[in-house]
Amino acid sequence: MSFLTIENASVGFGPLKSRTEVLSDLNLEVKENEFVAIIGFSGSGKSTLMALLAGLLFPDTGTVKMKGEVVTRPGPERSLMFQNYSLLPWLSVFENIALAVKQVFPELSKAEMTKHLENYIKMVNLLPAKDKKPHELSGGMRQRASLARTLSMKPEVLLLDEPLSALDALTRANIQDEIIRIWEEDKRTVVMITNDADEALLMADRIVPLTMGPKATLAPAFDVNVSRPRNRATLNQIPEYKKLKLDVTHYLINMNKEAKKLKANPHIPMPDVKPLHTKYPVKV
Amino acid sequence: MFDPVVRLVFGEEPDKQMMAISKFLIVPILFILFTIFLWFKIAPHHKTKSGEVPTPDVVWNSAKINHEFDFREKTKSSDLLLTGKDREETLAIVQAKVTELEATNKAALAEVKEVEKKYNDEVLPQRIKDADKELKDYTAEVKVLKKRRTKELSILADDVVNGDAERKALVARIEADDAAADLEKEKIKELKSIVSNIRSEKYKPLEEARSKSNSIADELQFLKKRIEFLTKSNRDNKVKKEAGMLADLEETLAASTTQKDLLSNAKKIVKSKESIDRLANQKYAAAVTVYQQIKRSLFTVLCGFLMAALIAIPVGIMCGLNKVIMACLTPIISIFKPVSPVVWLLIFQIVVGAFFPDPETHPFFVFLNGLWLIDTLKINPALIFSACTVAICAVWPALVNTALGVSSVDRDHINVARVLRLGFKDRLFKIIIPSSLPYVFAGLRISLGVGWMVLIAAEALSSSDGLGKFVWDEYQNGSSYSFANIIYACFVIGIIGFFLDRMMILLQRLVSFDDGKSTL
Repeated sequence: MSFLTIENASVGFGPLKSRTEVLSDLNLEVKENEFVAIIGFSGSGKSTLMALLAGLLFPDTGTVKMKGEVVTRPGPERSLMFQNYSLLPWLSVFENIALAVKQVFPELSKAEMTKHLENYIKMVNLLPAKDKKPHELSGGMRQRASLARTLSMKPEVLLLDEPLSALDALTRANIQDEIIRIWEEDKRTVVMITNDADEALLMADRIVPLTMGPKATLAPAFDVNVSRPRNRATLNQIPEYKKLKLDVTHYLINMNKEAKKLKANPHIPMPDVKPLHTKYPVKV
Repeated sequence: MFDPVVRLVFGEEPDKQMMAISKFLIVPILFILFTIFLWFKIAPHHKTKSGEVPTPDVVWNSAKINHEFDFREKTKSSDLLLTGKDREETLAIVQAKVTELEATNKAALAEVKEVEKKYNDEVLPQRIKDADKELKDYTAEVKVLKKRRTKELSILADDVVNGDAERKALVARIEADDAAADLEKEKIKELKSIVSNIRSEKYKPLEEARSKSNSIADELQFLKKRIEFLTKSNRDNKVKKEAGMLADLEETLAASTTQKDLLSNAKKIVKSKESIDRLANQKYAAAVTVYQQIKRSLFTVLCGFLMAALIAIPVGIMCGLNKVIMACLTPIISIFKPVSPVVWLLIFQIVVGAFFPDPETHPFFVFLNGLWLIDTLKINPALIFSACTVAICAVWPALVNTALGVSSVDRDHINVARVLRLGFKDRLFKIIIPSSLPYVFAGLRISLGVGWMVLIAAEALSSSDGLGKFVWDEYQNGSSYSFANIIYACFVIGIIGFFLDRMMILLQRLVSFDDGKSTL
């Protein structure tokens, strides 16, 4: 039985007469403890899709279900890690995470709470910076703090909205490894949005492409049948991986081309205008 | 601003620091010195009804006089309460000073007389004589000219009769004569005004001698008053004297036997006891000095500002949270925001006046004036409605800014709250208020600035003791130091306003989480 499902959902914005459908006819099934990557170009409605899953937004038609129940509001069991960290700037790392933990586990005693918090801060290697304010941290550290906050709520589903897009390549690889490590230690269902095919191939069990918007929808999935742990250095020598990478890349490139064809009309009719008088007649 | 100085002290790139110091410290200081110099030069050229525009030194002097006045009032009120040995010691010191000063005073008076005599007997007469002579000579000359013109005119008229001259020429001649006479009159007027100017001209040495003698006389008068307060009017002395009388009365009561004597003596004892009680609580009714006005103004503005903040922040938060409330309040805010403080003052004067018919006995004021720290401020209805005026004028910037801050809380932060399923209270106190605090404080800062500005006008109009009233009184006074005092008050108001603003900036930095970038 699938854990998290989207059934025939569609979302649009704007007034009724000139409504733009951002997502239409979405169908997705995520199994328990599965790592699904949703890959798409920017502007295709990936974040809208994530908001649907988190319950921050509701579909115009269709439903989002978790464990068979329709999602009616956001909640910590489907914890969302925001694209731009969303740490509260007036609280330190520790306080930011504490705010979430206190809300989700109000029954914890003070000592248990501190232990719980330090455990998660340690998990993302932020212990030395736990009393710093977000603006004193680097982008990577902020993202790790955000990850710690999300994980500390012990969500059943982890929703990662382009968690690494704002980071440089080195930090990105670091945090990728960290996410995988944490996930393998403590399995749970993950839906990650990304625009990086390599990242998706490295981390996910399944890759679902999102077609170009408007009226974006989910295309058939690619299963990543590469055994774990996956080593970044040796991954490129595995024939299965190579083939899969080629397929995904081709698919994405074709999608882009199709989209461009649909979009741009090269034959724009130009008016046939000629000057009435030419002061300096051009000799032919 | 002083960053380069600190760096220079630590020997960090001296050339660069010197450059920075000269650019951002020395040039501004030179510019300010230049403006003061301009003030020095330009001010004496502008003569007004209340004398010349005071120069910086005159204003500085008036600041000193105000300070001295405050010192004297404080000394007097402490003298009145001195007892026992302290009183005697102080009295000895003051008396020594008086003897010393009396000699100086005599010398100063003698000098004034001498200078006056020299001026009246030597300097002034010679100049007046010269000017007078010129005037007399010219008047005589004009008389002669007039006679000659009359004569010539009659000759010309005769010529016209004889046919030697034209009638037109006669008219022209009269016109020319009139013009000449006008010119002469003008000249005479000018000469006369020169003479009177010399008479009214201030003789600098005399002025100086007089002001010196005056200040000594002032000091002497002050010291004599001190002696009075240390001896005759001293509270302790008075009480002792009355107590002695009471003892006498008690003796007479013991000795008296008739009904009539008994009654009258017993009544006298009661009266004497009452007067001892009254005397024991007597205090010097010190005049209100500028420092007290400052204290009262600060207290008033603080009251008004707190009222404004207490209204603006909750209402602003409600407006920011709820668009319906915002829509309801926007017209009210837009209409009342531009109303002049003067109108508000009058309205509050009427409204507050209706609440407190008699401030002397009203329990509210009796209670307030009995409180610690503010008992010296003499709170009255005028203060209340000045504070209300400040509040209503200061409420708008804080309200609008708070509403803006609350309504522009980051969408992501709201989403965090939604994902965490924070309740309304937590959402308000953990997300919305902290996030909008920098806006709120920016608004409060503007409010305090507006409040301080409004307060001075309100105090001037409502005669509520404070800096505004100080300025207004000086304007009404019209003494020789009034103008200087007004300019002095202008600086005091400006400097206090500056410090209030700095204080708000510090607070704003404390609550802002972006390292104070939003503050200037």
